[in-house]
Amino acid sequence: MSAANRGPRRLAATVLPPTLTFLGICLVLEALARFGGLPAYIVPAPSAVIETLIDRLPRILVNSWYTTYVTVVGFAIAVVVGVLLAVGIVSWRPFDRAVSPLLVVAQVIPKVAIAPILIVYLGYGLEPRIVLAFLIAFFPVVVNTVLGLRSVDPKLLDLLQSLRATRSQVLFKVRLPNSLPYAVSGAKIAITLALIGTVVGEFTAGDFGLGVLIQVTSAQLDTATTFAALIALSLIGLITYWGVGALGGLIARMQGGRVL
Amino acid sequence: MSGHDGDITDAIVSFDRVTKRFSTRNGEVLALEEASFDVARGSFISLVGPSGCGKTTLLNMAAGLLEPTSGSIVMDGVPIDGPPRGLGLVLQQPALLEWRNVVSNIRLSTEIIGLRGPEVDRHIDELIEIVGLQDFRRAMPRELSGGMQQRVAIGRALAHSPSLLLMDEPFAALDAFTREEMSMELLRIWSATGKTIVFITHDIGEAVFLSDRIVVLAPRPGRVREVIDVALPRPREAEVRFTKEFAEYHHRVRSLIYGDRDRKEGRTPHGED
Ligand SMILES: Nc1ncnc2c1ncn2[C@@H]1O[C@H](COP(=O)(O)OP(=O)(O)OP(=O)(O)O)[C@@H](O)[C@H]1O
Ligand SMILES: [Mg+2]
Repeated sequence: MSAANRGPRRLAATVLPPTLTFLGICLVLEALARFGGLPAYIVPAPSAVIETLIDRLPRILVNSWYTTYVTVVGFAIAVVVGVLLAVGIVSWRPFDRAVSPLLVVAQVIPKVAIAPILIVYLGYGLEPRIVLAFLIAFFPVVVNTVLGLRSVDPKLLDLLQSLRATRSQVLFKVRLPNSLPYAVSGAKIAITLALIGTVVGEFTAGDFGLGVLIQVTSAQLDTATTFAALIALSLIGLITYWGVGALGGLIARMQGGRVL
Repeated sequence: MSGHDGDITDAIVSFDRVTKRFSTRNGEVLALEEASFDVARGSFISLVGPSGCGKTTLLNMAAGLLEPTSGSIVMDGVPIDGPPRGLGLVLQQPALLEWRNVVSNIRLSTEIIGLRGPEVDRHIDELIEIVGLQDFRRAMPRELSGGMQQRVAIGRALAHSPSLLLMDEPFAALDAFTREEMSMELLRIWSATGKTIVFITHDIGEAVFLSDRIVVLAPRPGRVREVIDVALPRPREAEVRFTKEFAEYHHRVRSLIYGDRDRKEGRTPHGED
């Protein structure tokens, strides 16, 4: 195989099978909707969904913007806070002892359950949703970054110690760079979770956002719009996930390192 | 003993009945038992002995990375407490920062010490030539062979101009040719800068060629078998390897190492670890 056609061929190999599967499912749904006698509020024909998507595009775009905004802001806070917590946990034993168990507790609480409280505290604006996105997303960042900060070659630590390196030199010259690929893979999980947190927040309370749109239209049995919103949501999920992966890869390349 | 007067008045490091035990899941391991010897300031000293006889343990204790279980290590007249200043260390593994290229890996030790400026840059350039990596300045560790990685580690250990250099089998991953070249370079650096070098090797010829003093260790438990002063004249050229004196030293060290093993295991020597 020549290098020239390896790229396109690999792309085809990764993109074609899921696309074909997806198209197959659409065909089955289309057939069910047309000939299956199922009402449109249960199974809207994919063609009708696409039509709705085009018709309602402005409304869907506005709501998509809110959802994306909350997701990305919640995610960004999760990364910053997650990395800081990880550094604290690795650098300072008492902090580790005091905070790590609480992090686990914070992680196992179902986030849907705290959404109402957040609204009581923070009102109906974007803030409770951002907090929810953050809360659901930060855990994998902490866990992965802690792993990356700790999994330094012990020989390298010996070497730094032999040079009488300070703790902050060890942190900045060895531990943090070493943790980068781990943090990036944590962030890739975090971005998908942040989107879930955002939609949970929108379900609980909200004025704009795809979660709101889904609730309103499904209550009205406007299933075609609901499905159109779901498509928009999937696209947001895919694009933000790829974006985080690409950004991580870029930073890793600038650092000269590797990607997990 | 040899013709050398052996009376060391100015020891930079003295080991006095140094014992090291490790506790492991399978019980205690006596890695080193009552090792005593001196390292004279500015001298070149080699530690030789079969695998597992405690060479690395000894070196790590001199580097202040490990504490002896009993006995004392005195450096510049004071018992050591942590790594001494002006120490250059080459570990048995290269231990490079895999996200840094060759130049900035070599630069690491100067960064830690806080050295910078055009002189430092010039020195690092020089070192890159010495370790023969001038065509690989920007290469990443994963793009280098094992021997090249080890040469980066040697460059890094020299970059901050340490006065004491501890080297754990620094040439083990090099081919015979590069190895001889590097040992000539090391000798040149040593005689030009007056460093003290403690050097671990499995190559008896290399030890005899380079050293003022050879500490022969025996395994299980690790202990000092004998300390041999090498009185071959300096500066030493490659030709010294073909002299009768050289062969005598070589034979002596060799029989100290293999004689022991042959007797124990009842077979003839066939190679080195
Ligand atoms: N951290 C440790 N924990 C337990 N045992 C250890 C440890 N380090 C070394 N040992 C044991 O101490 C003994 C000496 O080990 P050391 O690494 O000093 O040998 P060495 O002479 O450097 O061998 P080699 O030539 O193979 O590098 C060995 O028996 C080893 O198993
Ligand atoms: Mg060793």
